[in-house]
This record gives sequence, structure tokens and C-alpha cells, in this order.
Amino acid sequence: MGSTSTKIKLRTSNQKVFKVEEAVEVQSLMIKYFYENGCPSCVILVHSVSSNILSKILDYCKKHVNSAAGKEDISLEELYEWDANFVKVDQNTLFDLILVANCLKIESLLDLTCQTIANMIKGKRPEEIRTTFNIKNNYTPEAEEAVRREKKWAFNMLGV
Amino acid sequence: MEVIGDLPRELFLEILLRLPVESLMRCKCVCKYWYTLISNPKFIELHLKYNCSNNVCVLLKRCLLTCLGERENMLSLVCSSGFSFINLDVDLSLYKKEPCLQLLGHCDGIICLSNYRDDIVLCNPATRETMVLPESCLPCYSSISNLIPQTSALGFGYDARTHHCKVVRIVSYWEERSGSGLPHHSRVEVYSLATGSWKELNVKVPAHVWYSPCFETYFNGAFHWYAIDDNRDEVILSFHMGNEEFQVIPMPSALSLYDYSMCRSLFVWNGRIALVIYPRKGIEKSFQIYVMKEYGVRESWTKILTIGPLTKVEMPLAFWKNDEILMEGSDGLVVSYNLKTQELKDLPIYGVPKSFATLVYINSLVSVKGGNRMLDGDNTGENVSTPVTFFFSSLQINKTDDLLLKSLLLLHFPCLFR
Repeated sequence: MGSTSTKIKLRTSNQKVFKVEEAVEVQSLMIKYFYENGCPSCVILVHSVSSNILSKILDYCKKHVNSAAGKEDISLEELYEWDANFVKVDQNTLFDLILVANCLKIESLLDLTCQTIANMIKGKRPEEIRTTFNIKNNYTPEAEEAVRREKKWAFNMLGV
Repeated sequence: MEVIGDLPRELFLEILLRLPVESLMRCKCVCKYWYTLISNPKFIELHLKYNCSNNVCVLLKRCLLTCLGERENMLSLVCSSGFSFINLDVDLSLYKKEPCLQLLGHCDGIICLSNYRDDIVLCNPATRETMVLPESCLPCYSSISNLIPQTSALGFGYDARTHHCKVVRIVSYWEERSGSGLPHHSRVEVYSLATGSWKELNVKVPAHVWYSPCFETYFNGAFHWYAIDDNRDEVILSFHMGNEEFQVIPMPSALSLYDYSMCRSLFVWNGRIALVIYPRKGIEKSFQIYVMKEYGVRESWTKILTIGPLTKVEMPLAFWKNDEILMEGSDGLVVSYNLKTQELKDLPIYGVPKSFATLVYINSLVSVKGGNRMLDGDNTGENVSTPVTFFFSSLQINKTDDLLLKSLLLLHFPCLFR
């Protein structure tokens, strides 16, 4: 899996072409699969993603590969902190990261991004969740009250 | 992508899977779509599986003393991440002051509790759902006079065939003056969540269940008790929840005959049955651990290691996190022993000495009423669909054998071609 021999490229919707580096190759099961199954030179058109999302993904892969290989002197705590800062982005970017992590099959990034969204839901009341994620409430007031009553304790825990 | 609702369903589920039960309960109120997803049997199954591999906890029963000096039962959850614990706010009204409260077993988030006399309760501590089982189908008096019935064993486990939990009860009939120390005869009944009723089994119980601390264990589809057979040898009695048959499993042959000064406890450790032998009393205690390498085969019992001698440790409570053993320390303190580092760590959990019982436990949405289990081939979850946004809308491959590659990709990433 040499970095020089790899010729897989990713092309974003704004026509930027990224050469896939070793870092991504290791982290992405998808690229690894292309590479190992007889397609070391192709261009994958990544349709709905802008170049800054893709360059962010490349940053993530590099950081994790380098720290795992010991190329970068970084403790596990520092890496967690780096991850925490990495996902301090707006919702749109987070959703885009989830999509790309899923399609390139980068498991650890998918876990990180999904957990970040989950943490935004945890400990919130339904109305707060609706506001946070811009979700329309399609319950009738009576139906919502019925669902709430069914799980009253789950609301008591929040002190509401 | 602008809103959470635009995420493909499978990715939105990835997010929901990472939420604790109480948070999911509130999420049901967000909108109808979320309610449908979270109530779906397939999601409940996925959430359970996710927690099985990421979120295994220990459920701990202990007694606390009230200011009036009365004992009260309390259920707490010791989480695998770190050594923190939370007290569960479960309605234990039936059992709050019950001195003989037993934790019978756990399966997929449901626990079974009993006082060994009248009531048996199923409870999902995460959803707070509880259910009292109906009365026994066995007569509470014997047709032969002078025989006194007594519940001698209870067990709880999962029947993989019917996809439902079952409770098994052995009732023994004792002669008023029994010289043998063994019951006159025993009868067996099984409660299945599939049928919601008890039924008597026409089987002979091959050994008599006896008490040994922290012994009763559900493993490999069967419930296990400490027992004495007709030759008065100590054995493990197991009851398979699927085929509803008893099996007698011998103890390691290396064990010396019947030594009352030694205790036996049974656990599941790294996917195998493990037997721990340790002295009943003493300031310093050593713990010998035997593992049954091949289930049911006496010759496969292997002594793996001896822990200690340790001071200020009474008895083992549970194996967890692969290399930790939760133990009851002296003065009612819970400690955790690490097999690798051989270090003993105090946990900030106290209780009345000898009042502890544990279960390895997983938070889940599974209902105690048994209605929401997935059956094999049941694809109800697939019917709830939302528009799926495609990420790779096209693949541009400049290689001659792209057909081969496409078929390989189709095999492994079918989502690309939908």
C-alpha cells in the first residue's frame, strides 16, 4: 500500500480533484477495497460534497493514521481533544461528514460524527430538539400529550 | 445537507442507536416519524445489539439502612466506562423491604426478581416497565398428605426458538419429618412470555437445587443452579430454555469432596462457564478459578488461575470488562479486582454486608410484555422508508475491466447502485 503508487482520485462537485493519500487508504475501507481489487487508478466522482469537506476528511485520516503509526507524538487524551475540536462545526458540515464517512466507510469518523449529533439530542426536551434540528412537530396537541404521558418519568428526569 | 431529516434512514438510525433509553423515550415526542422509528422492533433489536457490544453494565442489588434502621433494597447500575454508578429509580414497592429479594437473571435488558415465595416480577429498569407474573399452575398443597410444597428453584432466560423469555420454577414437596435432607418429589413449571401463562412439564428433576452464594447463572441458552444429586454429590443442574430439558453437569474432579468451609460461585467469563472456589471465612482469602472449556464435559474443567491471597475481600460478585472481577469487600464495600494488574480498587458503593447480588446487564427498549421482539425473517423494519439521498451518484472508472469491478462493488456496497 505505497503512497506513491496509488492513483485513486476523488473529484468533488466543484471539480476539485484530490489524490488519495495513504492516510485515507488506511482509514477508508472503501478506497482500500478499490485499491486491493484491481482498480488502483480511477477517479471517483464525489458528487454532492464540496472540496472543503473532503479536505477536512483528509485531515482527519492523516491525523489518525500518523498517531497510530507513531509518526506524531500525541497522547490518546490529546487525540480525543483533537477529535472534539474537529467536530466543533455547524450542523450542515456535520451531516456532510457523516455522509462521506459512511460512503468512504471510515468507521471511526462515522462513530465520532454520529455520537456528536447524539450528544446534541441527549438531555434535551422534545421542543428543544425540534428547535435545534429545525423539525416540524406533526403531532396534534392531544396525540403529543398522550405520548408524553406514556413516558412521564423520562421528562421528570429533566426536572420539567 | 441542511436538516437531520435529509439523512438517509440508516444513518439517522446510527445516531439514534447511540442514545440512552430515557433520551429515546423523549425523542418519541419530537415527531411522528421519530416515534415510528424508535418503536420499530427492528430498531429495538439494533439498539440492543449496539449496547451489547458498546455498553455492558453491571446491575447491582444491595440493601441500605434507613434512618430508622430498616433495610431497603436498592438497584444500581455500575457502568463499564470508569467506576461510576447510578441508582435506578425503579418501582420496587413490592420488594422494597423484602429481606429475601433475589435477582434471578437478565436477558436483553429485562431482569427477573423474586422473593422465592409468592411473587415473581419482570422488569426493564431502563424503560421502568414491570410485570407481575400470574399465579403458579401447581397446587399449593399436595395430594399426598403431610407433604409441604416449597419453591426450591427459579430461573430466567431466553428461548432462542420462540424468541421469548421464560421463567422456570421447581417446586419441591417435603415430608414433614425428612430424614434424608432431600425432598419427597419435585414438580416443574415454565412461564413463557410467548403464551403469557404457566405450564407444568412432565419431567423428573435429576438433582436437588441447593444454595451456594452467587451461583445461579444463565448461559448458553440454559439456567444453572448449584445442586446435590441422588448420590449426594455436588453438581451443576441446568435447564435449557429451548428444549425444556434438565442436564446434570459434573463439578471438576479435582475438587475435594464436599468441604463446607469452601464456597462455590458460578459466573460467565469470556464466553465460558467459570467456577470460583474460595473459603467461607478468613481474613485472607484465595480464589481458585476453574473454566469449563467444553460445555458439559467434566474432563474439560481447567484450573486457570488462583487470585490472592487477598485481604478485606469476602466474595466474588461478577466478572466484567473481560479482566475485572467485582467483589464484595469487608464492611459492605464493593471492590474491583483487575486480573492483569492484580490491583484491587475500591468502588464508591456501600451496602449492608452479604446483601449484594449482581447481573451483567444491558440497557434496552425490549418490552417485558414480550410483544416487540423481532422474529427471524420478519422485515417489518424495511417497510418504513424515507427517500434515500445518494452520495455517489455516479462512478467514473477508467479501467477496461470495469464490469468486474462494478459487480464486486455491487456485492459489497449495494447502496451505491440502488
